[in-house]
Amino acid sequence: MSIFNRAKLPDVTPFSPGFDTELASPEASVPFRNGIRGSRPLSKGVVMGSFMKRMSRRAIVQALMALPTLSLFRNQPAVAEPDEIVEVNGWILRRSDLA
Amino acid sequence: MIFDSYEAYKQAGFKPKACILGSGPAGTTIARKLDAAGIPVVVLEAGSREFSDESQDFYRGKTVGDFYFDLDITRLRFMGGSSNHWAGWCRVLDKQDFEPKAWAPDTGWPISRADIEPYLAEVHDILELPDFRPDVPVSDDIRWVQLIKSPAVRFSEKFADELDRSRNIAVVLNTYATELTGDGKRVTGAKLWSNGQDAGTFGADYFVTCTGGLENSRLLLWSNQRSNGGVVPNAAALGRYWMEHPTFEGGNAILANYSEFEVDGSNEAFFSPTLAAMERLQIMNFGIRLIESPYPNVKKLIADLACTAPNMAEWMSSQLDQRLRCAAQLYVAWEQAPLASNQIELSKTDVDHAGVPRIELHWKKSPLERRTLLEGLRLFGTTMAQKNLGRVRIDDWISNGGDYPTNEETAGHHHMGGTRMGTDVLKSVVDANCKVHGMDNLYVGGSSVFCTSGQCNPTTTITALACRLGEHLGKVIAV
Repeated sequence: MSIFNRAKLPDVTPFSPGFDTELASPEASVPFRNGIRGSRPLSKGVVMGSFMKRMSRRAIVQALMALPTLSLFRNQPAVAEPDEIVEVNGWILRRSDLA
Repeated sequence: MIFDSYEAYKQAGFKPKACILGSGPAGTTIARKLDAAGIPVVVLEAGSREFSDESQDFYRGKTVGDFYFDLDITRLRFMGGSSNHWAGWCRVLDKQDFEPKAWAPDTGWPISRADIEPYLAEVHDILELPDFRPDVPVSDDIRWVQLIKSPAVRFSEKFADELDRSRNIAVVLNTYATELTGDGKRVTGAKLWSNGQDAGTFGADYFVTCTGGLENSRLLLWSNQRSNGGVVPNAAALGRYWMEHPTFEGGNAILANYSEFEVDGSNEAFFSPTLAAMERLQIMNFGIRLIESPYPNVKKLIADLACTAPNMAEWMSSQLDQRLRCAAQLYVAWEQAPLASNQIELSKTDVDHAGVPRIELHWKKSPLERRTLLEGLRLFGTTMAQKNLGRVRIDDWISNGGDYPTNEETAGHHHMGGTRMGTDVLKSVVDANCKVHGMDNLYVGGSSVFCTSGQCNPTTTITALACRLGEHLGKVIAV
């Protein structure tokens, strides 16, 4: 008679998964790895130049398209605890429900 | 034997050892136990076999303080007593309900739940109950508890034939014991009123008052007043610590799977706090009852949720498309903190047809209970969200500290306390065996002996205590 083996409600994440996935792609992250591990420090311009060169055109366009959505989060505190329980308008919710 | 009048009874020449006042669940159960022990007992019932307005009128009274039901509709005055309008919900008080709570003064019983457990098998036969399942922990704070919706035994219907056939039991209808007389050590008799007039004094070796959670106090207060303390020598707590189960609609819930919680085909589910949660938050026990919401209310609820948590509302809406049953109204009933100021007094101006002062009930809910209501709903809502079992909305009047509504359920018609059990004569009326402090032959049956109310309906515990008292009395009388 366990009540735990049930269909769960979805865990709603507050950020777009597509946006995070694109930035985490191997293609985009390579220059940073070089910068960290390189034998001599790279200047900011060199790093950015190399970064821009090695990014695909598609990735750059998608990143630019996503920029306006960043403003939505600009004035909001980071959601450190999506499972934190909050009470809003009488509703008892997870913070992640508020997306 | 059942007699329809005191006159008919007198002609039968029955010689009882014990006299029980009232034929409700407690009175009938104690009489059957004495019968089983071979002890002759008379049961004096003020009403007749059926409901009548004339009989109910004796129960009129007044309430001072919070809104409460009219006192003549919240109980019944005829054979079988208030079992005649009982809804049938059953559960025994929790083990923790018998324990003192440091954050709530005057809590704790002189007995434990283990003292009534030996009688529960008998109670299950009397109330026609299946076995209770154990509580299911939902979180560290919340238990999924079981209240069984029983067939709601009407004691007069179920046991009338047995009582009529018994050679040891005489039920005398239409016979009202207006007062007990006593000398401070023993009850010496009961003054009767029958057929609209005084009917003399009735004698027996032992008396047990089982007239209900309001009327026991009234009878003893009036008897004590008339006998200058000769019936309840230690009367400091008499009529005091009266309790109910305040009950209100407290909010709504949208559930991932409503049917997961259903039991007994009642389509209702019940949740209570753990002792650890009560200790941490310093609140009383409570019960949250989920009742399925009508479809239009569900849509309204999801629309409300959409304003706050649109993604969650969208998901809930998709659930609603798959199954129409996904939302519930939340009703909360809670344990009242026992307060001496919640008490039954005798009216100074109003008497019944027999000249007995009517009840003036002083009743107010306390700040501790208000906190129990709010924190209880928060506990439940937090558990539902943390476990992803659903989401809860608390009604605005509770969140905002508004007044209690007067158009709601208000309370459970559960009358408890007034002659509470205990060891301190300043804070109790009867001892652990339900015997009135200082009296040799006067006992009290029913929920008026409850020290605390717990959160559940009282009839199951009343019946268990009656089995225990009946067995005890059988041994005392047999000596």
